[in-house]
Amino acid sequence: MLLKDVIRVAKKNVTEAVWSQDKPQRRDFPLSCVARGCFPITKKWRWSVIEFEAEGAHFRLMIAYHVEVPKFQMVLGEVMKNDTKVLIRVEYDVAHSPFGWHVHTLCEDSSSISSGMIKPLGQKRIPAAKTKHRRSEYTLSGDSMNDIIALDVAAKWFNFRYQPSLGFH
Amino acid sequence: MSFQQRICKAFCAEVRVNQFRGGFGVSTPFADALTGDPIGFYVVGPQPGHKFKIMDDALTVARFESEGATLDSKQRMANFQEVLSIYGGSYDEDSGEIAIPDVMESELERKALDFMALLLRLQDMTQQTQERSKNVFADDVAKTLAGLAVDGLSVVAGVPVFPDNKEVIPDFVLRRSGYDKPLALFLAKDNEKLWQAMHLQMTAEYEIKKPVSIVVLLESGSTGSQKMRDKASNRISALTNWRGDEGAAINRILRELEVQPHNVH
Repeated sequence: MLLKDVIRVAKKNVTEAVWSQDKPQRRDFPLSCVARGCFPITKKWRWSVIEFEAEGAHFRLMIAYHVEVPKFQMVLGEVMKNDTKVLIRVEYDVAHSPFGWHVHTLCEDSSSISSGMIKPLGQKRIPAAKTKHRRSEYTLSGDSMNDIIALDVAAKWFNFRYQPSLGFH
Repeated sequence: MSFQQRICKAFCAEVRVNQFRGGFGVSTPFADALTGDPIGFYVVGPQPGHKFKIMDDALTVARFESEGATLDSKQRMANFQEVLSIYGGSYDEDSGEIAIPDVMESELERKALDFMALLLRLQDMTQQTQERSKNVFADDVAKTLAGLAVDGLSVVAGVPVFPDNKEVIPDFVLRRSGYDKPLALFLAKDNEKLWQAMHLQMTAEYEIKKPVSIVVLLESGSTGSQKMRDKASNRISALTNWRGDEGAAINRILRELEVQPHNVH
């Protein structure tokens, strides 16, 4: 399975986005190779995990943004029972230079990716850290990030539809 | 250009300050060893009293902990607090944020340098802690194996178990003369070595088709994830625990070579 196909196809059974500012539990985004067993996020972040089906597989997507500074991350992983195979991290950080939207990913078939790791071996940063980033605006409207905008960002990146009301919880 | 100017230029060449509503993001010339991204921090303010706060993304400690360098250890926590105090930093355990609070505008440049140094020291401290702890475990096992008085036993570190397959190299290869089944020993402090051991087991079984015992010596019973330990114990020859029962662990390894129980010191 190729990531580009997972992103391109229509998504089925997209779950509700429930937002939280507590530390995630293992069940929210399990990662077996991480010491605490789940994706590391702290209370300075608002986050939500939505799940969907595509290409005959089940995926979970962590969407998280810092509540005080322009820093955003999304992590798409394939659900592997009680573990997650991370396929791509999408990030934005105003404390990078040059700053802008970038990804850490592997373009090969997902069968070669190890489960349970935040940064599976062989991932590449696209674009490279020192090169120009085409999209440097944090939000298109210039507003601060919030749950609705964050969900919209995720929907555009990963090509899924959602009801706007799903962002309000 | 004077030497001082050249040095100043070199220091500042890759420092970038990006303004956002409510503060600044500062990108440093140094890369995060875990993510490969530049190490950065934020200056927010001015807050009431015309003061600023210099802070991280509240993930520095969380990322270190996710790599296994948790602050549960009293010694590691003491080292962490010491580094914080040197630079006037604070750590909010609840929010996960590292910060230098209440910085006057006139102090910003100096404190920003302090904060960058603090982040670098924390990164070094974590890496050294992991490496030191790994070495103590490896050294203890190496000394014990070297001290075994078993006739015909050879212990070699850092070589492939099969000369024509160098894909996975175990920590030690043990052989006993007159016994044609070598033993590949992996010392595990995380899941990675469990994966390597299982990979070598599959390679030996299906590709090389030669007999070999694959043994993983865990530093402790809680090393790696439960799921990985379960997977490994169902696939490799033996999974043993080191800390607290070192003698029995070594005897379990020797039993794979059909060596009788041994007094291990």
